[in-house]
Amino acid sequence: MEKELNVVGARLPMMDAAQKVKGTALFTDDLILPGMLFGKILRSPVPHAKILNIDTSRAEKLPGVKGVVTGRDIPDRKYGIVPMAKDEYALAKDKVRYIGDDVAAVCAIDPEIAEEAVELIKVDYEELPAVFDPLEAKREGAPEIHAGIKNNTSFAIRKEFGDVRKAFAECDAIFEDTFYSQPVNHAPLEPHAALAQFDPLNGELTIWSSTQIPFFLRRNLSNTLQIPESKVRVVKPKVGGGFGQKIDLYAKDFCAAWFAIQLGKPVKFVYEREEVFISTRQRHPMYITVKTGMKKDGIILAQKFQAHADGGAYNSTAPTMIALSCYFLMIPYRVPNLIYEGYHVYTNKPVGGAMRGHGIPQARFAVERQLDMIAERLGLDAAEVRIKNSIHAGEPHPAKFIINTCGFSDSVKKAADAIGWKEKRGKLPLGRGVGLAGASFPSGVSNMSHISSGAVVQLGRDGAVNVLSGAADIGQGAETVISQIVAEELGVPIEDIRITAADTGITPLDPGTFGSGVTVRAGNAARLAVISVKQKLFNFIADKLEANVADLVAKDRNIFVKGSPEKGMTLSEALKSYQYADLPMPIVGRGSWMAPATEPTTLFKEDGNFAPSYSFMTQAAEVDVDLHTGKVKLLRMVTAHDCGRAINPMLVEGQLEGSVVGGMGQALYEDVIVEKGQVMNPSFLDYGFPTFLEMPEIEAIEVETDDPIGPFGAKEAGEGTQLSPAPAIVNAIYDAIGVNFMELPITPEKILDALEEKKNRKNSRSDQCISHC
Amino acid sequence: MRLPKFEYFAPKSLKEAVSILQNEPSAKILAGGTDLLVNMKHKVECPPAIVNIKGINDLDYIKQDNAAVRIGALTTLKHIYMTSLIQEKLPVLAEAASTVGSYHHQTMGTLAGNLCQQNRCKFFNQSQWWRSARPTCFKAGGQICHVVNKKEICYSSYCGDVAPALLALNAKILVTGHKDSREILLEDLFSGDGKAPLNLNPGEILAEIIIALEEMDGVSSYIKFANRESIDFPIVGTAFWASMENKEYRVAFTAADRKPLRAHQVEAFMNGKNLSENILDEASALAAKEAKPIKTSVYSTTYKRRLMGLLLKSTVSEAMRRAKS
Repeated sequence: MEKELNVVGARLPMMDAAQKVKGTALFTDDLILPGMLFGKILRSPVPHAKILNIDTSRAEKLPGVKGVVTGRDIPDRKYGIVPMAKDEYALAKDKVRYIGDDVAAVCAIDPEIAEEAVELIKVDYEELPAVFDPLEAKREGAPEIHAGIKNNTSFAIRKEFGDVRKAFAECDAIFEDTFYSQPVNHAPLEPHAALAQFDPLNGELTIWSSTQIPFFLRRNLSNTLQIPESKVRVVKPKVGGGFGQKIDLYAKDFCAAWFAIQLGKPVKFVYEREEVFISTRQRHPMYITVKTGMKKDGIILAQKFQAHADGGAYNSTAPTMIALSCYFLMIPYRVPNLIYEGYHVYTNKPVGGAMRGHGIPQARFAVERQLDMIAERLGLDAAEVRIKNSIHAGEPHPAKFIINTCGFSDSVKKAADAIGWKEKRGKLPLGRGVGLAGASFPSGVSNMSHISSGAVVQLGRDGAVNVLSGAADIGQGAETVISQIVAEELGVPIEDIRITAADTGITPLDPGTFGSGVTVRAGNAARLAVISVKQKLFNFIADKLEANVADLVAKDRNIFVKGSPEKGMTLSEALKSYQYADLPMPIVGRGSWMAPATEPTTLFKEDGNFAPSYSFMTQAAEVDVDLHTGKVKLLRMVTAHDCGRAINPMLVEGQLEGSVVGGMGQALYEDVIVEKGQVMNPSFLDYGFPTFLEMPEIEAIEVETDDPIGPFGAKEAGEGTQLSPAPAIVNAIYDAIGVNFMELPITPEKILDALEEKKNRKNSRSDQCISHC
Repeated sequence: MRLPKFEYFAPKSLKEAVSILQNEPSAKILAGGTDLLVNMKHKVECPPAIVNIKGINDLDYIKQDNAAVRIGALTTLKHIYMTSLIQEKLPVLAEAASTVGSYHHQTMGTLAGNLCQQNRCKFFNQSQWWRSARPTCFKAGGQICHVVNKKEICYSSYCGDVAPALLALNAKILVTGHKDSREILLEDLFSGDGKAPLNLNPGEILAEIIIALEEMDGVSSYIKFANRESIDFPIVGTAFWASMENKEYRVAFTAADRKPLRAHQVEAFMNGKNLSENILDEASALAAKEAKPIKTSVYSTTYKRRLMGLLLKSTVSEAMRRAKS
């Protein structure tokens, strides 16, 4: 694409950046309505129990309390973010399944009274045996967490691609290793909140919620409350981060709506940080065994992958998470023969859900670590092995993915060069090391139902360009990116764009922020809408200018004939004469877009092209390990990233930086520590994720490809970069101290223990080659 | 989270504060509030009354007379590490004050408040709901210590940063009570009882911290080892003071036991000796034995012991480097 671009590709600050810096941006908890009441949820203090009785009488009598609700009061409607996996009530009906499970809620004239009232509710529990480990939970005789779910295994898939037996027989070397990836909390800065208001005269419910998917929330509220979807309006105020944790409906949404309907007054719920840690979602802990067969030269012939995901007490996204961890084993590397076995197992612990990368970070940790270990055993260069196995655009894919553009091998080369791979790998003094890891991620989802976005662009005499989009900006800058696309197409500066986003009562349907699809999906919808507006205006102008519509261009608030800027008029003049010609205003353009798909494939049962496009990236880390204290300092992180054409490079860099910090958290700092089902570190202080002072030097390298499907060639840049920082860091630690870590996170204590063990047993190796290598 | 109900007093003088405390023996003193208010929200401390001493004049000072440097109880941590006398002559104290919590804690937190902070434990520093999943722990008013699974004992750890620095400086404190004031060694303020960590009688207020002038002739350093640079409590903190000409040394640790510790055995071993590498190796080995760390946080006791030895060496080499320059 050689076309000159003005707004797309520009490093523009987010449109709401100044508001946020000033503190004037309105998040859910900033909203105040007249007569507003405040809610609080009572949570289970036991990991597994039958609810025998709930006595709410003392709470109800407390002055200031306006309402109490328990599971027995609410409709018998189970909820689940994935329709086939519904297993949860907004408030527990007969059983609690983890410490933190939602039991009852109170609504009062202030939050303090609500908190006091919750403590006055008396619940009689009959405690049941609990189980905290998925491998134990899967055994015969383990406590049954959900009635009728055998071995607590709510989802299991086994898939085979190619001929794995035959391929393994042809391998020169086969390796099998087992890994563990820990639970990680999303920890968005804004805790989950909801404010609901009900108009009893027309039966309409309005809810402001810190949600990533307003339209799913609308559907799930309609279903659980048993009111028509047409009577539910979800408004998304500013959202302070989600990372996947805000895609689900939570008790705060349901209960705010419930009380608003019952009492006819606005009701607000805001979670404490402790509730965010314990009672929302976390990245699934996962046990993984990978068996990889290779030729001597490092070409992967076959893989067998077995995963046990610790789902905690409920399903949330279980089937999607398992499917993603399976299919994305076949990208960015060519794995022609694969057996995948994945189990989602219930335990009496906090619930696993979508988290940036969604099932893939755990798998990538295992695969990227094992690739390094194998390269070492076979005496190959770990970067070379990755380049050799890289898939390329246009290749046939074992799961029928269609790869239009692929900058993966290029990204390995560029990341390796930037980190100084040739000079440093294996050559730095003890304690210093470099490592890298690769990944790929979908730009949204093609084939599932409801995955299309709409947009409306309206142009009036004032020259303001009004955009209506259902895209949910949760802090990543979606509204800015969409506005840049509209501004570019219409030839105006971004200041002329006024975007209204994510209000199910006003804006068109959109599946929200998940699966890294917003830029491609909602961006394409907005582009179609503005093109439609532009065409209407061009059709009118062409007559006036006696020019062909096809020759007109819009640029710098002017419309003119391509190549002859003097033959044209300003946008403002064009609009004025449009109106004076007695044509109806505003000029409205509509667009809706879904990824091209040949058949409706979900990946749960059938293969198919999962996404409209795929991003590719390699991350390279340099670490310094303090041999005395065991502390790992991440010195530098390079990300070479093929996200197609960046609509806004500054926002892409923001995503990269966030990913690097998230990845270093996963590698070195973060772990939701659970003892007997109880989260021991449910606070920012005790959870201890890295802060600004721990950040490394970050270098971003663009590997630009021009994707034919994304708007202006864009692909995703949100989740993919979160996949490989952790294995890159762990691979660098191996280079630094010669220890192969198989479990996350790698704390200073583990480093010291490993160094000691290494000293004691210099010659024995924990890893093994199980075949003739 | 809400604060439990309490009666509020804002005395204008120490005398008035003392007399309020006499009438309300279970009252708690509020200064910076960075420790007390968090515990009150968690309802592990529910005092019937709060005595806010922030309004008392003349408790915020750093002054030097013929005998000592005297620091008022309400002097903020930031004021301490921004004062050039402290930076230059008592660096161990400046370093300790500057590593407390985050910047916000340093601007709100006071010296006496930091010294008198509550002990910490992973079973204690949690919300009321969180704690309801287990029987109430001994420190919070119940029977049992969940760390060791024993009755009527508390192994919570002292985690303050400033105490070890002042212990290494052999600081004294002025305690004001109903009848008179008494001057005691700071070391004697700490009881070693996790349930009631301070040896203060009802109605007594820590009014002043006193550091003898000759301490300024020594070299010193404080090193805090924590998870993150920005905010955390120490996993272990170590303070060291030395008079190079007299070969006299003082060592103190925090976050390693139920109270901040003067490492007397280590000191006895080191005193009179030149600190060669061998001597330091031996001292480090001794240091690990001086405290009884218990697993009251997510960090193992083995790791804490290892760090005690390591940090001793680091503080010594930092102090020696200063002695030379």
